[in-house]
Amino acid sequence: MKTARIACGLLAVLAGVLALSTFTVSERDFAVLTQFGKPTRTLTDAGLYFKRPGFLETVNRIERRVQVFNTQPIQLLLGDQNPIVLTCYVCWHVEEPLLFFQSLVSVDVASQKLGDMINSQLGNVLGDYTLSSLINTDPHEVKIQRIESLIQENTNQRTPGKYGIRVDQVGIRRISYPTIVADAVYNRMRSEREKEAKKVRAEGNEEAVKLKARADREVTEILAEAYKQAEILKGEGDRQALKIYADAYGRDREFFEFLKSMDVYREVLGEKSTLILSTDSDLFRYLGHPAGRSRP
Amino acid sequence: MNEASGKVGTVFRETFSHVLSFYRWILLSLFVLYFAAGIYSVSPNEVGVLQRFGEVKDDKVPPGIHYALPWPIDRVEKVPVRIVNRILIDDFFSSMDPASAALTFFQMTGLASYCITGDNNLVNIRCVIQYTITQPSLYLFRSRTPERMLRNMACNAILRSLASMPVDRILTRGKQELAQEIKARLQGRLDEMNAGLSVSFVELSDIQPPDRVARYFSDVVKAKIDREKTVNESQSYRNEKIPAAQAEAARLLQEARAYQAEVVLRAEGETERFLKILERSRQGGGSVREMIYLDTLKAVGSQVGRKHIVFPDKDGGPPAKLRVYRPSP
Repeated sequence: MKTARIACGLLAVLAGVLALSTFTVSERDFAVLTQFGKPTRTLTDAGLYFKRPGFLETVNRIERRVQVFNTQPIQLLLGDQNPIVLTCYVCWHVEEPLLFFQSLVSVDVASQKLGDMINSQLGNVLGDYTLSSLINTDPHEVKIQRIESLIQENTNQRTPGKYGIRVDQVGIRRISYPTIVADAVYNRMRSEREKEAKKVRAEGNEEAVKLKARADREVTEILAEAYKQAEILKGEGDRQALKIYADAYGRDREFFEFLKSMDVYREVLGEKSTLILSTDSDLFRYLGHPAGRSRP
Repeated sequence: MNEASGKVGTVFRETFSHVLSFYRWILLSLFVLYFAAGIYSVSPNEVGVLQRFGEVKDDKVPPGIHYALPWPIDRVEKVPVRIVNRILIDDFFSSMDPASAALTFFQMTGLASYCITGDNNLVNIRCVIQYTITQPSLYLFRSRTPERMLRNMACNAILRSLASMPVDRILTRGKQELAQEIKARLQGRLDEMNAGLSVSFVELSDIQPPDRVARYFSDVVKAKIDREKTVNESQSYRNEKIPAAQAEAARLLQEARAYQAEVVLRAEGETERFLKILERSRQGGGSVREMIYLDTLKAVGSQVGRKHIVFPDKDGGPPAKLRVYRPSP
């Protein structure tokens, strides 16, 4: 029994020692082990590790995942003297944990230093570019990606051996104009739109006038064509009628003229006409002479 | 003394073993409970990532009931891979909403928020990005703040997409194209960082000119409507005039046809009559002619208002008072 108890006690002590002298490194971290501030080991793989128990060896965990921060907005001049205000985001991670641990200590400090470096890089790099290489309707002329990778490369060239960090990605997240420039842009936008509206309305009127004129022309054409056809038809009718008359009247032209004259008299002489008849006329042949006068 | 102590010892030992056997059950059940704590479940929209002493053992634990060794050996993190996450990007949208990124920026710099288009116009844009986690282990271990990273990259993608498009296309027919471009650029950046995230949809919820110039933009839209209206009006003028003209044309033609038929029929009738009379007059000699003449004079005489009957001179000439002018041939 005594041995059992001793075994129990030993086991408990062993467990305690084990708990104090083991630690795990997760996939999220690096670990730098220090003895009273002096780095002894750097662990870059996740897993279970042994160390000297307790305060004899301290585990310093360092974030190994990619971190993101935004730079302070910075106003700078482009190569064509246009002022702009830029904000970037920076993705970075710790590449050499020991170096990082020794030089910068905290993530906040690292972000600040990186931000300063990148802002000064922005000033350098953007001096070589114009506004039209930031914004352009031709996608091939937009050089933002080129600028971003230049800044990333330049920054990475300056960090090795110093901070143990590496910039993975730099991106411009906001381009703004200083207030005065923005006001000018607003005014230009306004006048452009006003011009556009005027132009559109003028186009509408022009097209409407054209359409109306064409409609009027078509109307005239249709009516003229119809008039022509109508006249042809009428003429045809007249021709046929004349032919009929000619055929019939040709049989006795003198009788026709007589009949026609009779008709004409009936029509021509109306209520307001004055008829002067001589007693000599055939009509009054019997007026003076009941036996009748001989015909003239 | 020895005996007594031996006796006491026996009693003590018995009691102790008794107690021990009692605690044994407790210990055993604690032991069992400890190991039972390793049972865990993964819900249908999740994937589990199993880590042993911090090291990833399995990053694709499917939904269901599973077992892992209890703390501090194994650790399971569950990642909702089948849930669509939404994130609102309002960095380029002027808003006084205290939670908006635009207000933060305004407080920091005193500048309004907008995005610049390829032809140097300013627009306000707000969009919702839907994304899913495609690779749980990358999502957990690659980036410290995946959502923040995504937000930054989305701003960059919007900025770069707008920087190469003219404002008219952005505000009107290019929206679909713009959303596609933002999606592609964002996905490109995410992949570059191995973020384990996939953009499923970019929804442009608001895209409009800034308030200061909005009314000039809407005036252009109004002008376009006006143009449409004017053109439509003249088209309806045409639609009205042309059928009327065609109707008029048809009327003219019909009249002409009627005239044609009328003159022909008249001619036929008249000639028929003439021929009948002619036939009769040939049969009856001069009397028919006489009859017609007298009938005519009767009709004329009765309808004429004034009639003068004159007696000629003896020599048969016209009466002295009456002169008749004949038109010279």
